[in-house]
Amino acid sequence: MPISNIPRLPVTVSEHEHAARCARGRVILIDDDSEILAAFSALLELSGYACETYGAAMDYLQVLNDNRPCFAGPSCVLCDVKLPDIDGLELQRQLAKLGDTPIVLMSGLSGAQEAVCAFRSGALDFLIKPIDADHLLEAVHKALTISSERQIVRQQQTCLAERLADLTQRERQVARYVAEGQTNQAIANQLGIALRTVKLYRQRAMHKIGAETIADLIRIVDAGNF
Amino acid sequence: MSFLALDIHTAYLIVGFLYLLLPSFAWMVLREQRTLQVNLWCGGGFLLGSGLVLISFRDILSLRVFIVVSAVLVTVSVLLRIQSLCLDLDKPWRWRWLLLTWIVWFLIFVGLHLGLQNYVLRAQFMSIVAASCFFYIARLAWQIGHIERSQSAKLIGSVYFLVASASVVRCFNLMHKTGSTDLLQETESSQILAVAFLLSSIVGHFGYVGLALDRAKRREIKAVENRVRDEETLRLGKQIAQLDRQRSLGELSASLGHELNQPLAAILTNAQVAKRGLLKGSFGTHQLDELLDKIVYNTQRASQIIERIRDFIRPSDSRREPVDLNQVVSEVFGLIADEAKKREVSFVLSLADQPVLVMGDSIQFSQIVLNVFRNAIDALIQTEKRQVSVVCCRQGDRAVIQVRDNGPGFAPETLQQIGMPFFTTKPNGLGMGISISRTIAMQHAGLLMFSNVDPADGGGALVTLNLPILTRTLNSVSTQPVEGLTTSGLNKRERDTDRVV
Repeated sequence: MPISNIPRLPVTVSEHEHAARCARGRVILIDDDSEILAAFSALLELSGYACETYGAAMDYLQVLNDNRPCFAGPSCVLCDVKLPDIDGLELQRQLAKLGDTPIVLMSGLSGAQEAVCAFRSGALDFLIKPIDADHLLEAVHKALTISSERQIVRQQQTCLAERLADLTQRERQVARYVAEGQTNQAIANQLGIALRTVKLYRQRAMHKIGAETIADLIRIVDAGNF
Repeated sequence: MSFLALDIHTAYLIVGFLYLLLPSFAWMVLREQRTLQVNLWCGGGFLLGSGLVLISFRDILSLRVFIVVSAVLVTVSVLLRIQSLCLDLDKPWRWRWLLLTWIVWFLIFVGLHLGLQNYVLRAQFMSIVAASCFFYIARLAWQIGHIERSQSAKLIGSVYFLVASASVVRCFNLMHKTGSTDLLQETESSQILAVAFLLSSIVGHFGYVGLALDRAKRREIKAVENRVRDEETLRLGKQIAQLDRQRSLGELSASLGHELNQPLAAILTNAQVAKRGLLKGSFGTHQLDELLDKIVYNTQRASQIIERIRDFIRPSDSRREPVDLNQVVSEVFGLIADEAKKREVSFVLSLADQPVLVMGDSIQFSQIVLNVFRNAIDALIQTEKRQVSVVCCRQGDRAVIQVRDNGPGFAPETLQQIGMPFFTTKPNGLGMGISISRTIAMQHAGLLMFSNVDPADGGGALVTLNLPILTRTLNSVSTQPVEGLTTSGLNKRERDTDRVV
C-alpha cells in the first residue's frame, strides 16, 4: 500500500514555490545531530530540492502515520545509521514494509557489517561522513530518479486497475482465457456459453480496457494481475 | 700466687671505670643510632661499672651494705643487657617477667646474705647466677652474629662466654673451698674474673659500637633499595595506568570516531554550500555569515573532542591540584556519551550545585570514572530498560561519586574478588581497570567501594568513590605539580596556547 498518495494543491505563493521544489524532489533527512541537519538541508535546498528534517526516526514514522497530504513529486530518505531509539537499519526495515520510498544511509566511520546489512535490506547507497557535496547530491539524485520511476509504474498500475475494475465478471473471465491463449471455441465450451456470446464479451472487454490488439490485451491483463 | 701485675682492688677499680667510661663513649658515638636497645646496653654497662667500682671500694669503706648494693647494680645491669639483645632479636622479655626474676633473685640473695648469713652459699649462688646470665648473653650475641652475619656480635658473644666461664671457675673454686667468698681476695678465680671483665669491657663496647654502625649502614642500604623499588613500582604503575587509558580509548575509538566525524561532516558541507552559493551568486552576506559561524562552531566542537581525548591519554606525572569532581563526571560522560547511546543506556547525572573540590590528578580521577561507567554499561547487556544514575555530591568532609545501574548487580563471588589484579568477568577483559582505579583512589586517600542495591529499592550495582574533600579555598592552594615540575609545567603552557589557538 503506497502512503501519502493524496495530492495537495498549492494555494499561496510560498506554497507554489515549495510545490515546485517538491516536484523536483523531496528529501527526508534524519540525523540526531542538529548541525548535520542544518548543513545538509542548506545544501539540498541550494540545489533546489525540498527538505524535511527530523531529529529521530520515530518523529518521521509519526508524521508518516498521520498520512498528511503533500505535494506531488519524487521523494527519498537520507538517514544516519546511528540514531537513538530506532536506528537507521531498523527504520529501513519498517519503511520497506510501508512502501517503496528509496533510502540512502549514512554513517561516520562505519563498520563493514553495517554497510552489508544496509545493502542487503535494500539501501540504495551507503555514504560515509564526512560526505562530499557532489557525492551526496549524486546519491540523492539517483534515489529521486528511482522514486519517480517507481511512482510512474505505480500510476500506470493504478490506471490499469481502474480500467479492469470496469469489466463484468464474464468479460473478465473471457479476457483472462484469451490472455492465456485459448481459442474462442475452447472458452465457449469451458464456460458453457455460445461462441457468439464469447466473441461479444471479448469485443466489449477489449473496448473497455482500451486494447487494440490481442497483444495489448495480454499485456494489460498481465500487468493488472487479476 | 698472682699472675696479675696489679693489686686486685686496683684491677676491679680499673675495670669499673672502664665500664663507666666505655658505655658513655659508645653512647656518644651512637647518638645517631640511639634506640632503646642501645640505651639499654649502654645503661646496663654503666650500672655494671658503678657496681664494680663499689666492689673495689668495699674494703676501704667497709660497709657490708655495699655488697647488697653492688650485687643489685650488677644483676640489674645484666638483665638490662639481656633485654637489649632480646629486643635486637625481636623476642623481648616482658618487663614484668624481668622484674619478677629480679625480685626472686633479690629475695634469695637477701635471704642468704642477711637471713642465713651463709656467705659461701651466697657467693656460690651469685657466681651461678652470674655464669648463667653471661652464658645467656653470650648465646644471644652469637645468635645475633649468626643472623646478621656480624663478626662484632660473635666477638661480644665470645668475650661474654669467657666471663661466664670465669664465673663457673669461681663457683668450682668456692665449692672446693679453695676460693674466698670475698671477690677481693687475691685468689686465682677472682683474678681470672677480673681479666675476663677487663676484656669484656673493651671488646663488649667496641664490638657493640661496630655492630650498631654495621646495622645503621645496612639499614641505609635497605632504605635506598626500598626507595628505588618504590620508585620503580610507581613508574610501572604509571605505565600500566597509561596503558589502561589507551586501551579504554581504543575500545571507545569507533564511537569517538563517529562523534568526531559529525562536526567534520557539518564543516565540510557548510563550506561546500558556501562555495556553491557564491558561485551561483545567490548568497548574500547574511547567509554567508551564518554558514561561516556554523563552520567556526563545528570546528570548536571537533577540537573539544580531540582535546578531551588528548587530555585523557596524556602520559603525565601525577599532579596534585584542586579538581572539581562535577567537571570530571561531565567530561567523562562526554567521552562515553556516544557509546552509551549506541548501547541504549541512558545516563542520569545529578551533579552538585557547588563545585565538589578534591586534591589530586584530574586524569586519574577521569580514569576511575570512565572505568566505572564502562563497567556499568557492560553490566546492562541483558537488561531491558538500561539506566545508569550518577550522583556527585559532598557528604560532610568527603566528596562522593555514586554510580548505580539497574542491571543484575554483582554476583557474591565477584564482590569478593573485584579489584584484584587480573580478576575479570568479561570474556576479553584484562582485569586491570578496577584494580588500577582502586589503587588510584587509595593514592588519593580515598576508597572505591562496590555493593549491591537492595532489591526492594530496585536492585542493581552501586559503585561509590569516596575522596577527602578539599576544604581550603582555591587561592590558598598551590597549583604546582608535586613532581616533574619542569615537564608538567611545559605541558600546561602547551595546553594553554592550544586553547588560545
